[in-house]
Amino acid sequence: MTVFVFLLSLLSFALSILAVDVKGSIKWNELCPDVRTLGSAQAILDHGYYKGSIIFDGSFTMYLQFLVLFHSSSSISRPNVSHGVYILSIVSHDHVFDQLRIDVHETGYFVRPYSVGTALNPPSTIIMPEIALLARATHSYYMPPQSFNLMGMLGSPMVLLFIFGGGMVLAMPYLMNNMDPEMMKEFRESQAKASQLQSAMASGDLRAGFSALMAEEPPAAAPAPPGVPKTRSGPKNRRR
Amino acid sequence: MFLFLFVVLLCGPLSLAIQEADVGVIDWHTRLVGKPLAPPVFHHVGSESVIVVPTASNVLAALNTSDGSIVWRYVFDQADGLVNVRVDSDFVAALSGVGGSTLRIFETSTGAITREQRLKTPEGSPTGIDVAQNKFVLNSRSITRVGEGEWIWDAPENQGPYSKLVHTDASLFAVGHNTDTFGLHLASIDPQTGSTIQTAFKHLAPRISSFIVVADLAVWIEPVVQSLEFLQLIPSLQSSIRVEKELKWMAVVDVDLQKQGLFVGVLANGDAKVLKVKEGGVIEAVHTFPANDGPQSIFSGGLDNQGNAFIARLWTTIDSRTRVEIYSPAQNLVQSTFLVNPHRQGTVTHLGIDRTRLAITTSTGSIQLWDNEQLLWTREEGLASIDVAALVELPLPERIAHVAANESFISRLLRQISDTKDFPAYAAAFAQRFVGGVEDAVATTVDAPLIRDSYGFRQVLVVATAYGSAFGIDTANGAIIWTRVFGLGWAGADVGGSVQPLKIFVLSGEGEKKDAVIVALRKADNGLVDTVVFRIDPLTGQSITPVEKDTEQLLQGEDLIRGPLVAAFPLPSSDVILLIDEYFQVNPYPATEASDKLVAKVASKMFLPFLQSFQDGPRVVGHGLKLDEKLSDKYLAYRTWGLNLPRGEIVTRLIRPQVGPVVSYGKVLGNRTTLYKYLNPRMFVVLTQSTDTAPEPGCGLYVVDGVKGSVLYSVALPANGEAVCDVQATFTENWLVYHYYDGEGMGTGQTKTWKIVTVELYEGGLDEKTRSSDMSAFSEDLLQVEPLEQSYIYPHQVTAMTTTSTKFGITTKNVIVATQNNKVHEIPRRMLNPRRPKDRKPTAEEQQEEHLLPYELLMPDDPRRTISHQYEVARVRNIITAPALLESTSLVFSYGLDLFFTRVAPSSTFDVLSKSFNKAQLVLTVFGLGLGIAITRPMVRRKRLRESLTTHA
Repeated sequence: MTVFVFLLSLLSFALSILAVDVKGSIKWNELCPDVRTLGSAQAILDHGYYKGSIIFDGSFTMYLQFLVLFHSSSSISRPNVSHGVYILSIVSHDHVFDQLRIDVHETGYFVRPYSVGTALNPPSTIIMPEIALLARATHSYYMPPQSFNLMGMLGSPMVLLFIFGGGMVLAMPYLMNNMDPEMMKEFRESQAKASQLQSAMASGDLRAGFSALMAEEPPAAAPAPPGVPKTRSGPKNRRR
Repeated sequence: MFLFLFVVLLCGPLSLAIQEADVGVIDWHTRLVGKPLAPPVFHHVGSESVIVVPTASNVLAALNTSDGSIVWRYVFDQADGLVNVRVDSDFVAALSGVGGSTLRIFETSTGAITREQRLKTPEGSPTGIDVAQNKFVLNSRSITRVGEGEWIWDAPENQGPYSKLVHTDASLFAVGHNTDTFGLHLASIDPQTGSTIQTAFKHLAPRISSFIVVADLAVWIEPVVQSLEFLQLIPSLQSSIRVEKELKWMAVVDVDLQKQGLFVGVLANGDAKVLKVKEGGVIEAVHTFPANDGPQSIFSGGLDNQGNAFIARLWTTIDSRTRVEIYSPAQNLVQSTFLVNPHRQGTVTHLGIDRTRLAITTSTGSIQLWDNEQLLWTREEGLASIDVAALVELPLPERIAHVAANESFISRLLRQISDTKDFPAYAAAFAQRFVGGVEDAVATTVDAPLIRDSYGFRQVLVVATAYGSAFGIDTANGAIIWTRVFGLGWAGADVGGSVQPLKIFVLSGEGEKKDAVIVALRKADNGLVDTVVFRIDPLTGQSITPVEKDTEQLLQGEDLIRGPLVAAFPLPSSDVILLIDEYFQVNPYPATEASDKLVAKVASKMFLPFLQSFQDGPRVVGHGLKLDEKLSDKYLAYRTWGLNLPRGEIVTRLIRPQVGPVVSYGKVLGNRTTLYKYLNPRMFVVLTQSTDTAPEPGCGLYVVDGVKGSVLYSVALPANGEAVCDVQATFTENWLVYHYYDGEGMGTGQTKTWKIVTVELYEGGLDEKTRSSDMSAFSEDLLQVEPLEQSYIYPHQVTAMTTTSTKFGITTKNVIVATQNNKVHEIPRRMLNPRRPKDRKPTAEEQQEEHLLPYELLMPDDPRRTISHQYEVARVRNIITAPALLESTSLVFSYGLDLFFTRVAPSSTFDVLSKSFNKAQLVLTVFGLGLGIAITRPMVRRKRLRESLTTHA
């Protein structure tokens, strides 16, 4: 009895070969202006069971054929029932193209955007009107040559720092010698303050360090000998 | 330390990708089209001309007649086999696919596809396919007009099938010869509407086998009375068969001058007449080629750029020279004689003609263009069908190689004095290398004799093709050093046959030299099969065993086994090969007493797993070796285990691991613990696929122990509805990488994509070790395997896969893959580390110790890792890698349709300065530092003096 019911249910179905032509095109842009630039390329569905060459005008056609099980009852045999989800890719040597999702049904197909590696289920809600692909990028295989550039080398911060440091080492004794004695004194004072702060920091006595920095004169500095007028500037005395 | 860091900083960025200046310097690429299937057709485009050839490699190509370069080519898919090609005016029409279902029309000058269309095909295999005018396509019983005004015409019942389509001013005719009904089926169709004008059947004599169509005549030979018969094609199909029986005709030859009404009739006495169809369907002889002294002639016809017709007859004379006679109705007969060396290029198979220029193709796949007696260019298209290939190191220069170990002081002194004559050259080379870098140093050796360069970059590629030829190729520039054609041994004289290369080995030869050993199957035309070994000098192609003096003859091998070969194994750490014959007898090569002793010594420890054919398909069977003198005087391989596969699953491929020195036995992790590698030297990979008897379709991958047949790792992969599983894998040390298509990802969160999976086998968990590399093959602990695996989405289909190999194995191993979009790509090991952490960042220790990257599902398609860069390396079938003398560098050679050779440095060129190393910067920095010292030194000295004076004062 079960076998009979099974046979009856089989009889109510019929196998049919459906053919759907998936047509699309590559729209030329500045990255890929013509078929000559594109070179030999193909549009493939999934892993390449269905393929179509990109012809001179950028168009391609893939001829899909598959078996469909129809039910004799028209209520079940209805159009727009998906018979396969495919991912359309362009196999090109030098150019990068987007991938698309193609949902094929009995009378045609839907085109949806698809991003590599994303899940097929649930599908995107965006339906594209046609298969039109643009070259998104051109592969750049080479590393730019690294030629020797003297100015570039001299202009690098490390080299500049090195040159400046070296220059300072050389120039410092001369600068010190040519400095006004008062300025020299001030410089030494400020240096002493800085070193005091540094040592205070190191010993953890921050307060003493800051007070030393804020003080008019370093406490350690000897007071000016009495009777010696406090000169503010020396240049006029130094002028000869 | 600082200097080291400085050098590393200078070198570091250079290892990422190649520079444009390196293109053609460190690599080479040979574009090929394959062995021609049909006579080459000349086509004129203005003052230029091209040769159009369909090939056995399923390629349609146009070659430039001036230099033989490829103007364009279209590589058909393997499943889309080329069926018919017709060159007509400025277009080439090609029918391909099952039953000739796809029509493509190419522009002859550029190769641009102007039309690609699926056509109606008959059920069953087609009996005749033809194209006319690029718009009418015949397929057995139906004709399709494509393009403007499309129609499909189907033959009435009991008519056809047809095999020729003829478009004349009057009508479109379909003509077919049916050997079952002994008749000629004819149909005339209106080319505009596709309506039937008339169909007819003409009864022919039973022994007629074929016919040709010229102008508006169908012509054939009646073999019994040796008469020439013909029928004029008129729309009403009312004409009657006419017979010419004054002469004894043997054959009619179509020379592709149908519109000009010219063809060739061969007479029983050996003469050949050029026949022309005149007005009213009358045939007239316009020229007679007298009988020649050689075997059967090849005829060809063609038009020059002014539309003048030429017909050539080519034959090989008794003294093995190629002789050609060219006839043109407008000109005098031209005769030329040249030599197509049958010992180098085989015999002539096809001929194409353009005035006095002749394009010939040979049995080994060579395409040559001759003008009168001058060879203009040659293409060796046999290289598009390489069966086996090996890289062979070049020998040391003679003066170094021949230094005696016990050399006396005097002789050493004398030798060194004599060597000083080479000093200027050495100094110049050193200076050049210092200024120019490694590449220049290698480039200079290209014209030098074949000796080893300092880095071992220059080697010889020995390849053997499916067309019975072998080549030696210089890896420095891809030039062919030598060509040999395999001789047929005893079958050569009368029987005939073919040689199919199976394996290639590199063995040590005399002195420092290496020998290439090609193991091949000789299939004689009488059905006998033998296993033959060709041992050749890779530098010259000269046979070593048997000793050969004259390389101008065919390369003869050594008949080793009377029967087919089942398997061949190199004996480790020796120069002996074990060849297993159909009776499972072990035949050592070379067949010497020393080899026999060696086999006897190691036989008890040898376990040989190989593929064995069974009724339900091939299976992997493990074998041990024993000597049973009652059965044979040779060692016999006896079955020890068989790999049990699920029902309906058969083995498709057996992948042996890439063998090389193992440097590290474990992987130290960021937390200072160690994972110990599972290093079982007897492992190999088995790829399987399900047959119709399997419960469900699928593919399988197994890692199997070769001694016991135990499965160490296995995985079931989807078949994706394909008849043949497309799984690629490579295996080295404890590292397996495989690639497949996952087309069943319709579940939530899943997708359909190519995947690459990396698997590392370890002895156990952290710090667990079993010493698998030293363990007995029968130890139970050998089954303790801990796989670590990770899967990534890979954006391309992969056609071949391998790992890099270096001399000491210290350098990181990268994976080299050939992709469907005609590239050879390098995937760094870091990207395929199965320990890449998911959902977290790697710790600082992991980054420092293991160089771990966070896991990313999508493997990036970095074009700078494309080692074939701009080259389109088509249809790669195999990639081989070999170490150079530099530890950092691995040589890579890929073959399939195209050849591509390069070298890669997976861990960067740490042992040699790259060409782009900034030497000027280094020199300037040193100079600057020297200058600084020179300036500051007197200053410091003065200061010290002053200080000492002050102190003393």
